[in-house]
Order: sequence, then structure tokens, then C-alpha cells
Amino acid sequence: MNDASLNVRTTGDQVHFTLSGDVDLANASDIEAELRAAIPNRATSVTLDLSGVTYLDSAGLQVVFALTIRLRRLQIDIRVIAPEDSPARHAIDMAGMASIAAIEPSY
Amino acid sequence: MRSGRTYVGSFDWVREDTLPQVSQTEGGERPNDAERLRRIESVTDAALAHLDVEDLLDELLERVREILDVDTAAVLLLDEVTNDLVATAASGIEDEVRQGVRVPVGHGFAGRIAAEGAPVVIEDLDQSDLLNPLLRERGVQTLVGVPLAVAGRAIGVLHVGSLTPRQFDPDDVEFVQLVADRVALAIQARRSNVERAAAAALQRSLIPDRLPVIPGLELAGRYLPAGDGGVGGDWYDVFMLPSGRVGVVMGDVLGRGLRAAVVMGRLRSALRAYALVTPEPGEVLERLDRKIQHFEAGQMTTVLYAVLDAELTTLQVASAGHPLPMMATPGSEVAAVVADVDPPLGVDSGVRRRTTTLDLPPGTMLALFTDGLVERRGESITVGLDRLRTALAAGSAEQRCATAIHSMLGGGEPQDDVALLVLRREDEGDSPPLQVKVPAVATSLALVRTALRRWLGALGVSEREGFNVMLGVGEAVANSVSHAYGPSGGTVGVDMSCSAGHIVGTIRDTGRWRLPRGENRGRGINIMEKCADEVSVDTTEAGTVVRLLFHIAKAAPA
Repeated sequence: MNDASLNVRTTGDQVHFTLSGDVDLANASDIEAELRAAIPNRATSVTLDLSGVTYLDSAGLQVVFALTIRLRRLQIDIRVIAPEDSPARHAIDMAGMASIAAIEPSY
Repeated sequence: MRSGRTYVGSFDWVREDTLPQVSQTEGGERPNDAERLRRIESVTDAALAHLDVEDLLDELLERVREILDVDTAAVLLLDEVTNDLVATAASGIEDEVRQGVRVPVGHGFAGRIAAEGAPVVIEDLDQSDLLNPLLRERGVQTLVGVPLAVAGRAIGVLHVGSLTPRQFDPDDVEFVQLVADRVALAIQARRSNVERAAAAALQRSLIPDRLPVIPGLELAGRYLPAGDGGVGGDWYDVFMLPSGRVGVVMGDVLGRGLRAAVVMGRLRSALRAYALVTPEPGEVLERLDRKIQHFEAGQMTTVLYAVLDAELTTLQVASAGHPLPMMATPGSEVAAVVADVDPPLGVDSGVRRRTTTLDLPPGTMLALFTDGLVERRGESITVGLDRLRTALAAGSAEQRCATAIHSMLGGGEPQDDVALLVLRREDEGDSPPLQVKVPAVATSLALVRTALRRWLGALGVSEREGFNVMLGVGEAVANSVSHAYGPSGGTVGVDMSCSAGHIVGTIRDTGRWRLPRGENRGRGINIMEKCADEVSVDTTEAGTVVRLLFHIAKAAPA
């Protein structure tokens, strides 16, 4: 399996996540906890880059969108990067969630 | 135990001796209430329940002899084949049993009881037509006999006799009947156990648990006996003929139990024998019909016999009153085969039986079944047939067979015997199937994906289509992981097959979950429906089967 890995880079008030590998029911909640822990209260914008994600199931999508909704409520900007034809983009389209978050093909 | 039942008042016994009674012994007096209670207790004694049938018979005969103070007590059981009563147990004059006395039903003392199903009392033996010389020789003077009745049918006779002339009053006869009822129950219980076991063993030995391996043909079959624990006369058979042709049989002998199973065994052998010498299915059934008319007269049977030519390109089929198979050629819907149906076997002599020839293109599926698969009480057969058509829509022979059995019967026990045989002619575009079974835990998802990636890669499926398959199957497995089992866990089976432009995945667990309904349909289900071109979810007592069908643009070996 392609193990998932999460990379966090914080520049000032901006948090940049790079998620890669397979995200499924088995690791989604761990990833969710890591994501949330890495966002400080002072953050003004968050980027979640899913370009390197090789598999994303409904549990993974749930994490992405729950985070999106939560950050929006906290008035923190969130951008989700999922290039056309990438597995993550495919899964997002499949779930009909492209409209919920600001999905961008690249930076 | 029908201890509450009384024979006094509605008494229907035959008094042969019309002469006034000259000698009367003590035993002939009417017993008082305490005595009656003692008698009933002697038969309903809980300790008797622990005895096996032989010991129970001996013990009861001993007790009845003692209580009525008679010299002999015996049980004769009906041999259903010869319609004779056979002496089975005796106390007092045991020679009867040792000599294997047989009395035809309708004749003599015991024979008359069995025929009439009512007690008979003979108070003077010299005046009667007793057939058993043994009792006469021994000087038996007075006899009381009662039927061993099960569901209104006599399965034997119990009689007691006295060497001295005496009178039996209605209470005595009632007591003998009480004992006989106890005996009948025990005998019947054993009989049905023995018969059921024998019929089940026979059935098992005659229905192939391993179908022959025939290159180019996928085969899958199931036989499920009805829920009442008995067996019937359903059977199926697949055999290779010396010419390389393949014979396929589905049959249903009317009736249930050992007799139906025995007849089924004979017909199965006879059909194989005729198949060796007669190429045309209609003619084989004509011969089989003649055989039944002569040797199993009156035994109605439906049979479907089909023969595939050695190249597996055509199918010849003949039906003797049997439901026609379902068939699906690649790219077409599942539908009943269009062919002639002639009357069942064993009904009418001299029927001309027709054979229909059909094309069998590569990838064609053929499903033969007995009516038990599609018939439900209180449901139109059209509903059953529609459900079967849907269940057989796609996949390998094994996938279709499993899906059909699951969706037709669910976890419930069938009301009637059920047999299903699925054949599928392999296609050049077919690829080896994938079968994985994993524990129903989240970490198994990765194992399934690894297997799928490898399998899809070998098939040359595009990345995008492959991702669809992985995601759809992954969601189905995730559902099983999340919803199918409690803390004790379980397993999930994934079966994948690929043929002629589509991939079919079946995901099976033995737990229970259901499609979320209404607005809040689960995201996983939603995704499955987006990924796959067809989704069916079947949840029953036995578990859940998800079938996903994906149209694949490119599915040729890489």
C-alpha cells in the first residue's frame, strides 16, 4: 500500500499541508487529528494540497470537507489543491463535493 | 401424549363374541380411579423418554402385560413396501418375533385392526378367523388389539392376549390404546429420523459437490434442501460424453422424502445411460419417459436435458415440463430460452419429445433451475422470475450463482427444494478472476487495494477506470468493515471478474447493514453509485452482497 504521509509547513499566519499516499477509513481519523492540531488559532489561511494523494475514499473526503466547513466558520481561508485527473479530484467530483470547497487545480 | 382423550362413550370396538360371558377374572372388573391413574402413569413415566425405541417397546409391553394381567403383549409394524404387518416386539410369547411373523393388512386379527384403524376384541378365539397359528397353538383365548395410529394412518398394531377366557372392558381397551399411542409416537419419531438421514445421504451422494472441469466452460451449482429438514427429488448433473459433447441435466421428481430421492437416483443413472447411446436430448427424454412409465409408474417428473456440442458453440435443449433455462448472450438481457416444452415424464405415454437448437456465442450464460428457486408463497412467479433475471445479470458463473441464491432465498430456509446450475461459456476477452477474503477491519482496505491494483494492472485497465473500480469496491468493503459486524468481527470476501467490456465485483459479508434511505444516503453508497455503472445491494439474514458492474473501455491483457 501507499502509506499516507502528511507534511506541514507554517509561514507566518499561513499553514500549508501536503498530503500524499492512500487515505481511507483506516487512517482518516488520525490524519484529521493531525490536521486540526497543526492549525493554530492565529492562522488566517490554510492550503491542503492533495496532488500526491493516490487514493481517497469517503472517509478521507469526510475529513477534507469537515475541515473546510470548520475553518470557514472560524473565518480562516481554506484552499484545496487537486489537479484535474488526479485521484483526489476524481473522488471529489464523484462525491459531488467540488462546489463545497474552493478546489484549485494548482497554486 | 393424548392422555386427556377418552374412548369411553365414543367407543368403536368390535365385540366378536356375542355369547354371554361365563368366566370373569379379577382383571376384568372396572378399575377404580386410583388404578386408572396408576395405569396412565405407567405409560407417561418420564423415565421412558430416556429409552431408545427397542427398549421402550420392551418396557411398555412388559408394563401393559403386568397391569392388565395378561399372558402376552406384542407390537407388529407395517412394512410399507409389502403392506404386511411384521411382528417386532413381544412380551410373553416372544416366538412371534423370533419367527418374523408377517400378517397381510386386511387379513386376520391384526390385519383387520390395521385396515380398519379401530380396536378389535376377540373374546373367544375358537370362533374367529385368526391367522396367526402361533397364538392359537399357545392356547391364547382372548385378544385385544388396537392400531398404532399416526395422523389417522395405522403404522402397526399392538395386541395383548390372555390364555384364559376373560372380558376386557372399555377402560382396558382405552389403556391398551394409550400404550399404543405412546409406541406409535416413538416409532414415528425414529422412522422419520432414519428416513430423513437416509434420503439426505442419498441426495448428497447423487448431487455432484464438485462439478467436472470442462475447459472453456465455467460451472457453478447449488442444491438447498427445503427448510423442513427433509429432502426432495431435485437433482442436477453435468457430464462429458465420449464424443466430447457435454450433457447438462436439471430435474425434479414430484414428492419428497426417501422415495423421491430413490427415484431421483434411478432416473439420474438411466438418463446418463440413455445419453451415452442417444445423441438427441428429446429422444433421451422419450426413452426415460418409457422407463418411468414401466418401472416407476405414476411418478411425475420434470426434466430439462441439454447438450452442448464439443466446441461449445451450440446448445440442444429438451424440456419435459421443466422451467426453461435463463440465458444471456453478451450484450443482451437475461431472458428465458425460447424452446419447446413437452409434458412432464411419467404422465402420458407415447409423447413425441422435441429438441430445440440454440446458438451459444462466447460469453453466453445459461442458468438451469427448479421451480423452488422462483416460487414463493403469496407471490406471483413473474416477480420471482424478474428477480432471478436481475440477479443473473453479470459476472462469472460462480458470481451469478452466488448472487442468485442470495437474492432469491436470502438467509431464509427455502420452502421447497432448490437447485440452480449456472454455465458460462468463456470468452477470449475473459481474464482470470480475483478472489480475496480479508478480516472486516479498516487495515484490510489497503490489502484489497493492493490486490486490485495488481489485478487491474494486469488487465490493462486505464488509470482512471481502474481508480473507479478501486473506489467503488473500496467503499463497499469499507461499509462491511464499518457496519456488518459487532465486536466479534468477521470477514469480507471480494470476487472480481472481467469479461467482454465489463468488470463485475461482488463484495460479500455475513453481517447485516442496509442502504441508508432518504436524504442522508451515506457518502460511501453515493460514491459506489457514481463509480459503478450498476449497483445492487442485497441485505438478508445471511449477510450482504454488493454487486458492482463497471463498463470498461479497455480491458485486454497488457
